[in-house]
Amino acid sequence: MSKKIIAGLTLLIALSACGAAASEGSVAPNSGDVRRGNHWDALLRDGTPLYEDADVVARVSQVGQKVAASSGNPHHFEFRFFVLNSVEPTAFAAAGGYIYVTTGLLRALDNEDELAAILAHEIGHVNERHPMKTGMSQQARTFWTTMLALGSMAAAMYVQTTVASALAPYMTMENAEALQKLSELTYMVSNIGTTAVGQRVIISFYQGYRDEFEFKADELALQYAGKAGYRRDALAQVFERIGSHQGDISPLAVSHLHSPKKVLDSRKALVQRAVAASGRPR
Amino acid sequence: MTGTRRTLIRLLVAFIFIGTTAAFSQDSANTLERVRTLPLAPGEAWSRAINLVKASPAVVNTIDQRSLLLSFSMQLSEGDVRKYLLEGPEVERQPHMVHITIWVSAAGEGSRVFVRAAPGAAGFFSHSNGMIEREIFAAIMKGSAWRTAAAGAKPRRLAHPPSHAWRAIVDTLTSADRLVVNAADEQAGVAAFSLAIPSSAFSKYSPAATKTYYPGAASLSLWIRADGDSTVAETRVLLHYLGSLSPAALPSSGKLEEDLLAAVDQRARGETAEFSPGSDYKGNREFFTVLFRDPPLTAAEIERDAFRQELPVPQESAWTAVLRVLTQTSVIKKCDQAAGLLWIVAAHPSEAKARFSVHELALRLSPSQFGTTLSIAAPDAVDPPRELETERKVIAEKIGMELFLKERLKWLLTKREGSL
Repeated sequence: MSKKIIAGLTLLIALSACGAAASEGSVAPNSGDVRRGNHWDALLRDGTPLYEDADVVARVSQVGQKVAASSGNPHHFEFRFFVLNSVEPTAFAAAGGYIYVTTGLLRALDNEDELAAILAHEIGHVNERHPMKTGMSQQARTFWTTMLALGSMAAAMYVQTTVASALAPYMTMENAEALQKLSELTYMVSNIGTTAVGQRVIISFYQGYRDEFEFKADELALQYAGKAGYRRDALAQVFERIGSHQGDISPLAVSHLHSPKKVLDSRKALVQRAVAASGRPR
Repeated sequence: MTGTRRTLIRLLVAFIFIGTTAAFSQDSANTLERVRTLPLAPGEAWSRAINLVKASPAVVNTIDQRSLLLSFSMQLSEGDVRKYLLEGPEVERQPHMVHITIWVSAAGEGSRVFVRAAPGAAGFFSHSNGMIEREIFAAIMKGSAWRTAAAGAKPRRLAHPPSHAWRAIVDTLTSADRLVVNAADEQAGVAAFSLAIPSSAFSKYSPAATKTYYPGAASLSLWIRADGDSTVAETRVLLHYLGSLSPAALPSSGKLEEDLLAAVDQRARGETAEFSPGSDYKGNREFFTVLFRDPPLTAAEIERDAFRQELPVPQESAWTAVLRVLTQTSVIKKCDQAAGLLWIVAAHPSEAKARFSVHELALRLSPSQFGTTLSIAAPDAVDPPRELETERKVIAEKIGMELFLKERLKWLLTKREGSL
């Protein structure tokens, strides 16, 4: 029995470590990225309808393909651009080249430069394979949360046993029940306490991981949009107008424009500094 | 081994199982394509779509000649679940049905054909991996069948011409109480209805119905076609337990079909005939009851407590927008463009006590002085009022986007100098 458990644990650890392996090398078409993207796309579209106006979709796709071409497309993905019918002003990418913008976002934009900046940001996520890494990090997060739950239980049992041993000499017929309750309370408090602290640590760690992705995608967006002939400062304008809007169209939105306000302010400042340093908005 | 240790090990094994399942279940080799433009006239594509459903072991949920929209439901086998569902390997042993919508419209000289497959079991929805849609597009293009009914489902002959037989079918169904007529379309030659069957009588209709404490449910589609002076009738029936958490399709004894055709034949000969195998049992509000058993809301019922939105466009344009939005994410229960009515089955997590809500949601379009009034109602929903308000508002917003977004996108659609 224990051998089976160890084998299972080894497998899970190996899976959670795949996130690191996913960052290296070129990706063949129809790779795991594309298969993962297909899966997410099918899930997503069962919940949110596509906006199918041929003129609008064709223009979004033209802008997207121009930016994708300027990105060098290092993994040779076939980029596909979709417009989702949702008032939520957001954009996001799924693995393998799936990129989505919403009707709410299009409505909020003012010009093609802003659209190009957003698409460039999402193309940056795809080229860096962030959706795959986020998927892997979610698995790792599940794994560590599971480990935390088991660890907390074990720690709480240890504390409970220790407290029970310490109290044993004082146990009498009269106070046995009270001491038993005290022992159970010790278990409960230790378990809840360890779990709460552990979860806070895990959440902070993975939020940091996610913020790094956003900074990297911003950096790439400036390069890609500039190379494609669009204004590089448009990304900062987008942040200004819609970036502070919070919300998710879907739990599958593995990467999107929104960050907590503090992080968003840092992203905006970095973009502005980068544009100013280059001395050219284009 | 102490109880605690045993529990710990069980928990660990369960977590490992969930973890590994999640790790392997997020891949699909197929791309999802729900819309394809086919080089067929809309009438031809529509006719092929009807023939495809007629040949399949499916029951018709609705058919609307004006919109060229139909929806149908059928059981998926274990092999089908593995082949067609994103979650196939995890849920292949769970009895599944699939609810499919086909909608044909004009696209230049060809047709825009929309296909959506929504698979699901009693307690949850799963997702199509895109293969059903692709196979249906191919079948419509070829003019061939997609799935064929079992060899046992033999056609039967009625010694009356089709128009006469059709009148008898309509008379039989309208005079039968305790059943819900889902579709009656003479042009396509199909009548479809659903009913609940008392537990005491269910085994007469299905030899496999051995759980006498469960009432049954039946949905039946009757297709007719001319053959000389007589009429050939074919039936498709879906029988399952009502209230079971896994309503697998049960085999038919053929009695329900025989009783129906006997009643139709008698009526066609001018005799009186009863066809009342149904019961008044409503069952719990779950997906299959809402789809098959609840009579669709009437226009008056919709207007009684509707969320309303004025749309300054003609009703025809609003109708297209409604279909574009709702066919992509909903199971269509009934569609009637002539009356401006569309009914869907809404199923979603909820803040209601049961944590999940399944209900009929009906939309009505009616002419107004500004253009069209959109009314959305779901009087039977258990959702808290604010949640229901949001649900209806979001639908109205999406329809509004479909109709008016383009006007706001001049910056995108007007090419600037040096632009693409």
